[in-house]
Amino acid sequence: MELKVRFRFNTVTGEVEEFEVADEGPMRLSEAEHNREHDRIAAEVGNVIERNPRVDEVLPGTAPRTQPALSDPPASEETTETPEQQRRRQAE
Amino acid sequence: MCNPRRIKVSATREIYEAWQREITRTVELTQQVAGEARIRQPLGDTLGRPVLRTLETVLADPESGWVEVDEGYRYEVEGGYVVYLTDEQALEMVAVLSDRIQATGEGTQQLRGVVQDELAAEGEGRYYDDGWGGRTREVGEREARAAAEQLLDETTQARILQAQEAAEAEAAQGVEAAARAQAEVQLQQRAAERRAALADEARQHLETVGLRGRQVFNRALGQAYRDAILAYARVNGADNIQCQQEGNVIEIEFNLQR
Repeated sequence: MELKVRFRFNTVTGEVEEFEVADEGPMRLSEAEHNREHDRIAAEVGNVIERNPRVDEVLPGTAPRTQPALSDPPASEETTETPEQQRRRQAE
Repeated sequence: MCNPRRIKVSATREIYEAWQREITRTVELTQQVAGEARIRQPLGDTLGRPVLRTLETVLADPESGWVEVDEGYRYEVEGGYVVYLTDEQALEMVAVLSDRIQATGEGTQQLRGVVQDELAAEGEGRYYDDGWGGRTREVGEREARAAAEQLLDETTQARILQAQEAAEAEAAQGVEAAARAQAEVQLQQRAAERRAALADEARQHLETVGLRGRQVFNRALGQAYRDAILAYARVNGADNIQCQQEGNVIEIEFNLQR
């Protein structure tokens, strides 16, 4: 496979605007095998930046999925305790 | 009239003077207190391992502006700070508000004592043998006695003052310690109250501080993405590797044969 990897990241929004692993070579395998191999490599490349990357096929003429920026964690994560206080509470 | 003559009179007095004095010491203490509100975002389950590794390298770079602290790397932002917790692989945004508080303590003690002593004093008077101007020997003697008595009065007061001051010097440390203890208790109480109030206020700033913190972190994260992806590309024999940053956008492209 002749793959072209494109990555674009916005340092202000924290958004991965593009992360594409495109096969630009001729198809030498069956379509199913080709797709499996393409997905496997895309996941391998995606694993560099994300623990469990979701691989979507981008068909010609469609917009690729963007990786949302780090967002606010749930409200339950909000606390006024310092790390030291948290450690003490967990130890109790 | 002839030259005046001097006459001296000695007087003694046994004194037994009870005295009382109140001493007061005031201690004022100040303390800087801070209230914090924090929000934590785990990253270990979302970011890839290669990025987590390069992220620490990026944060450890002295030019990154992040400062190494016990729990990880910290960056001060307006209204608080953001810290990357290396063990937890989490980002924590902390809004901090601080204030200076003050507390006053007062210690009082009644001091009592008795001055008991036998004092002696000598007074001097003048007279003329011929009693000129009414200054007879009798008058001179009265004058001398009055002077001696006045000296005894003054000595008595001086002894009492001396006793009071000695007692005060002895008691002062304890009275001041009591005042300090009272101020400490009040200060701790006020600090706890103020800290809680500041934490409540800080919670309202958390969103703003979190936004600032994430913007700072995203810059480091962008570098970590870049370094991790480029490392992957090189290790896997990629060619035509291109990497550029224009403004706030990092773009990477490479070809991979598999």
